[in-house]
Amino acid sequence: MGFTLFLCCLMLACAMMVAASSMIHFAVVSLLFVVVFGSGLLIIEGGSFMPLVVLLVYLGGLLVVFAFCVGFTDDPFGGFWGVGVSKWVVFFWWAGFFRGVYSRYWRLWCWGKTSAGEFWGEVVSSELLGVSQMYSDGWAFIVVCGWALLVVLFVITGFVRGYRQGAFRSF
Amino acid sequence: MPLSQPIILATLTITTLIFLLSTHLVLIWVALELNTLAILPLIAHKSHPRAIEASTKYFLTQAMASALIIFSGTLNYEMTGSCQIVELTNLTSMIVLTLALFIKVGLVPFHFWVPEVLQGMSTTAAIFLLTWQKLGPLIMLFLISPLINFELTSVVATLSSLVAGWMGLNQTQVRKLMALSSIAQMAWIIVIIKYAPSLAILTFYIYSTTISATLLTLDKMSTTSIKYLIISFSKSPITTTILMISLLSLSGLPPLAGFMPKWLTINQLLAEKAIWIALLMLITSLLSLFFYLRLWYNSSSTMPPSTTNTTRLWRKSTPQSNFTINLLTMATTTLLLSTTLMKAITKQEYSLG
Repeated sequence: MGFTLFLCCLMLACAMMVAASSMIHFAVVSLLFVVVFGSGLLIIEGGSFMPLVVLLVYLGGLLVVFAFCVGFTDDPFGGFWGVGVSKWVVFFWWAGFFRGVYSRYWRLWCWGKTSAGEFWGEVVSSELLGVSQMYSDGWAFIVVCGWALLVVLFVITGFVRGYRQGAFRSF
Repeated sequence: MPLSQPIILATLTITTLIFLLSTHLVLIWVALELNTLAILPLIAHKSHPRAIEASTKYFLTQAMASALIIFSGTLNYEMTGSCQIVELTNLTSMIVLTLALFIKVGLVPFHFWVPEVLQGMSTTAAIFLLTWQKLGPLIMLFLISPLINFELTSVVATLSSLVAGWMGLNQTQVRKLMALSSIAQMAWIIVIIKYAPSLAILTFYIYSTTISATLLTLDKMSTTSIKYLIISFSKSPITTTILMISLLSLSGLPPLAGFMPKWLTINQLLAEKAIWIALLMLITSLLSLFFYLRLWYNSSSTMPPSTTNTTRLWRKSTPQSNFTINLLTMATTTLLLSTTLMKAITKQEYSLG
């Protein structure tokens, strides 16, 4: 329970860093950490399929391509502590966060309090029944999600470079 | 015809069918997200900066609301073990879901995106935003209506009616006025959804028909602000008259069909002893009546100084209304149907004696 809460807090902190970053490159790295901590959360709670899929496909495929595309961009107003507000927001958020965690959750947060069985869990992944049902009875859901991904692709591509001004002129 | 238009329209249809047919929260959430994404190209079709800004604002607001929906569903699943939207018994998740649906529809503390998004869109695409996109959240509200918190809905509805009318007093852009009128009409839908959900559905039908007629007519006449409405009577008097009938129906005046939902809603509110709510809704709808009457005054009731000294322009061909507009506007004359609908929809027995 303590380690779960720790991972939740870290994930939330990195999500806040994504939103409050002064340069987009920091936001991408923070997003990477959000995904890593989120997958760690799922692994601690017993599932191993979903985190592996997320780490492989999302991190290793999507986010790497996204990071390369971001690497092509330039931020004229960026810097390590870019434009004004961001560094103070980050600083005070972390200060308040540690203060709150220290006052309320310190006992839960110490690693020594978790037992080994609770930490390492069971041998078999508890997700297997759900995953098999998703592919057998929940096929409609997968069709809808696949359709959603296709529509997102068309929408974003047409939005960014469509409208009779790029190579992809379907709009 | 652009290649992506069949995909976009098919997606909008399919997602609305998914809302109508499902009760599982996660499936409804996926369909809502897909609905939001699919309408973005329609909003940003003209691709000038204001349209792109409108679509960005729309997407951010709706995505935040979708996040709140999935949070409330997850909380309810953890507390009660059920993923069905009709079994949303946890109080916190019910309130969070209701507020998230109010964000999606555009009611008062979360109404700021509606006029700005509508001002950036073309008038025909605005019809999709104001009618089709409201179907998803309204279906969810209909499904959770037995357990919804009446104080929350009545306060939000009264505030929406007040703020929408108040914001409309100083507007000259007709699309912003339509956005504010949609906020006020949604208030009338939300106030009665707990006690007579079928009456809320009736209000939505009449509202969507009338606002489609209004927006199509505005698109036909290419008027986007009051200063173009002023000269529209000399160009196309019949189309202007049709526009006025639609607008006065939206305002809820008796000879037209827009009066029916307001009347039946007040009846139901009085039957449920919510007398202050009924009084406040009526008083605040006077504010929106003011801007409907201002539109009527400027186009049909007076003849401001115009470019020619004749009452009708004859040198150029002028835009006249087509079959769709006429058909939709005829729906505003169906007030007599209320005698049939009263018995079917409301809970009171009416006797003629």
